[in-house]
Amino acid sequence: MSLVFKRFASRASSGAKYLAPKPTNGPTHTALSDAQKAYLDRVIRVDQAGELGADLIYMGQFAALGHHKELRPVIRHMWDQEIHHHATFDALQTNLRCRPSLLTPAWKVGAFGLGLVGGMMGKEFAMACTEAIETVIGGHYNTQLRVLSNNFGDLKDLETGETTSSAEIRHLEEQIKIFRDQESGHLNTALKHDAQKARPHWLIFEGVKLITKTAVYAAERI
Amino acid sequence: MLSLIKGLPVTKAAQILPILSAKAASSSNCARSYHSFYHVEPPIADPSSLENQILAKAYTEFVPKVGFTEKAVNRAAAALGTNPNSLGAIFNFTTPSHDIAMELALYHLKFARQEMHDQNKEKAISLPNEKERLKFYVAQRLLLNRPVIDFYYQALGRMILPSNVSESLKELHNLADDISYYAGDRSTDFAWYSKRFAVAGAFVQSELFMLKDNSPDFRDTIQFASDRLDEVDKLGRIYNSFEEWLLFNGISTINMIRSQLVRG
Repeated sequence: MSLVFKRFASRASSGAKYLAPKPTNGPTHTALSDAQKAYLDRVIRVDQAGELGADLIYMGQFAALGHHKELRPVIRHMWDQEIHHHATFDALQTNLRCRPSLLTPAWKVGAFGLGLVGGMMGKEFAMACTEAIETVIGGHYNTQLRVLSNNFGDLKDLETGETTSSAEIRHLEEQIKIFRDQESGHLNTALKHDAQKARPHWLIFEGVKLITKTAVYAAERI
Repeated sequence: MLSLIKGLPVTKAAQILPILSAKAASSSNCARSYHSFYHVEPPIADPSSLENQILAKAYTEFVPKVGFTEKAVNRAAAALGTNPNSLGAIFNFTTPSHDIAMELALYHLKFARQEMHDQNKEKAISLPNEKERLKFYVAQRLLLNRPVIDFYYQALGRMILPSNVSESLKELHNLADDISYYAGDRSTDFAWYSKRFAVAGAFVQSELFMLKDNSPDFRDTIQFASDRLDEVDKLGRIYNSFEEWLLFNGISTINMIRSQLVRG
């Protein structure tokens, strides 16, 4: 429980280690278009809100299920990875100057509540929640990767004159790729720990998927 | 872009091709969100567009004489060799406000925002903490009103007209965002909004105070702004302490219930 408290009380640092190293001689590429900027702004906002949510969901599950000997290290491992994702997107949001989601307080309460209540309903219920969430997030990250690799390569390199995507965009892509793989790892973990044995599985699975999709839709916009 | 048409002086080309210059100006009109390190960031007020050249001339030479009026822009246009009668065409195609005096007021805001950072970034680094930097930037930005302070009431009057208010609020947000970011704000949640809202509020109050301030070097205004920002800081600390208190008590309550349950 003291872990939970420490996590809540921690404040964001400058986070330079989570960013692509700043270019030494100023910008390397021509200006992003307004549409490209708007898209990046939205990507960082929704992913930050999502990873904040994931961080707090696992925190809630840890608070509820932390006394299980065999579950404790499993949840702790997933939680640690989410803490890293969350810190990365916090650093991207503050340094690239995107606004965070206006509904952040609601995400905090909702995510912690979902994790805690889900955990109290039992191990299977919690794992079914994880399964549903990570399913939605995997697809969500894939969509972003597709757009990032298709629509950001048309900018001129100022030195060579070739059109390439900049190190900033490539860094963001790499991070999202890593995170997507880790999230699908969580999906496997959930399946391994009896997610499908929750009853009624279809209801929990579809319900939590719907909640996640709604939250993604809202966090992209507000 | 305007030199595409060979053999025509730049200003003539601009009169024929307002659409082209509209494209050049539009990038500086949007609310700035994502800021890139690897991509060129367009300047706040692009000095290469004809509108901004006219506005710059009006702002530096004619505003101190005739204030934030259409007259100032007309004279600047005449001085640059553009026919003042065609200003309506140049500006109406390129600006959301459709109001030339408002454009002049907005130019002041953008110019001062750019100058605030360019003039002070080295000095701000040496300040010890975020609060000091915040006060420093707000003071420097207020002092950038000094050259036009006698006519500034006209600009404020333009900005709060119902048709212009959304543009001026956008610019106010950009200013609050710049000040907070350069001061070193790293908030990642709702505090991001409350901080910018509070800084914008403190700034507007100080500007209104400044209109009637007769003290040497606007010392009273700087003091006023500093006091307002102290209040903002105190409010933030109260909120954070409250959140921490609430969390601590929540967790204690859960633990107490659990210990009672264990006892059976």
